[in-house]
Amino acid sequence: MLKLRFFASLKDLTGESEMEVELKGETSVREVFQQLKTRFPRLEKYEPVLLVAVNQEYSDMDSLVAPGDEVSFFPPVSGGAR
Amino acid sequence: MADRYSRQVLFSDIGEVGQEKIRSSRVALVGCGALGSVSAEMLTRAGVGKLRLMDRDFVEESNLQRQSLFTEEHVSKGVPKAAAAESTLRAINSEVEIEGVITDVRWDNIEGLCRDHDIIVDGTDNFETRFLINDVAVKHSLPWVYGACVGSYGISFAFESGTFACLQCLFERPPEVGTSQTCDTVGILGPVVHVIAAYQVTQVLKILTDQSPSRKILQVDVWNGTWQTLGAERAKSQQCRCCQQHEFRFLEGEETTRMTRLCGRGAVQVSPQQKGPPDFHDLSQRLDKSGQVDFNQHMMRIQIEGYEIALFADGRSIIRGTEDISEARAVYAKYIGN
Repeated sequence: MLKLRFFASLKDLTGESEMEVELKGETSVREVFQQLKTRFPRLEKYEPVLLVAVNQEYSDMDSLVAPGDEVSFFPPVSGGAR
Repeated sequence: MADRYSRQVLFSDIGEVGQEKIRSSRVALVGCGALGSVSAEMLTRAGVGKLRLMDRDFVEESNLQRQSLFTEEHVSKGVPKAAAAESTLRAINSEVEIEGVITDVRWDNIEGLCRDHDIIVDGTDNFETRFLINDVAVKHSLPWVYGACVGSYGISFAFESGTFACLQCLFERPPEVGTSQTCDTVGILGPVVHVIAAYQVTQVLKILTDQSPSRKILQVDVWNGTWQTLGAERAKSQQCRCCQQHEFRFLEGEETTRMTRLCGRGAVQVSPQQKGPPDFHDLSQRLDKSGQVDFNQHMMRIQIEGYEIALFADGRSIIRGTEDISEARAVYAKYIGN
């Protein structure tokens, strides 16, 4: 299993702060994200601007993940609380 | 006031030597909303040498819940935030050289405003300005500290681009309109502002005293109680157009918009290319018959046909009552002109 975590607006969008997905072997974060998009099409517009972390380290969509890893997705946050 | 900084000096990682470095430092703070207010107060109390704060807006009632430098009097008088912050901060610490600049920080003025400082602190509310700050910081080898919050969630990171990642290593470009929530659409909780500002100012104090800031991106949700740091030591991109190829597209005005939709506020900002102090007396006479006009030395407010136009001394306007760029352009042309 692969653990996914969503923050801020992504948590609202998916309705979950975390979820687990089945993972057979090593795959890229991008591939995981493609599957997520079929379930949550509104994720599409976030794809170019997401921050991705694998096991609490900054990563990107090309990073490889394996069962047992944790992937976190962060949206861009722009407010300065005007 | 020999005792003034004694508790900070007792903190061994600062000490007398660190305090002297803080005292001789020059800090540029871009944006004086909630994050900017809280950061400015901490920096002023910590005893930085010079603090220049820049903001384009004026104080409104809905700011008071979290923007700690402002009062009801500032609201009723419609004081620009930079001016209000300057007077509050001077009363807190007269030893600090405080300079409030009422301006919209843009590609054509940011270098002059920020270059001669030791660090830039982010108190902005939009990515376009952050990409500008990043360009200036990389070009002039200045550190800067990003901070942002919305709802109960906030994020912060200290950029030192020489060795480590710059903003464009993390995000190739600003997000599209609609991909980042704003405080005007989902609200903002006061406490998260203080958490993020506290983290930002801590990084500033470390950098000013020649110590390494955290290399981790902090993200926190104060309501849900989640607090996570992400290691970012390997985030530097070898293909980065900004810090690797030195293409400063934002600073060169290639990515600039003159009309800015202030999303969620029902307003559009108009920044004319030709800037000069408008003649408030002349304008008020001109507009007095068609609407309600008030002005002071900093700005003018015009209520007209369901719109409110705030015209600032630097020539910029905020038009409330529409988020439509062309409508705002028309209102501007009709009442203010070129």
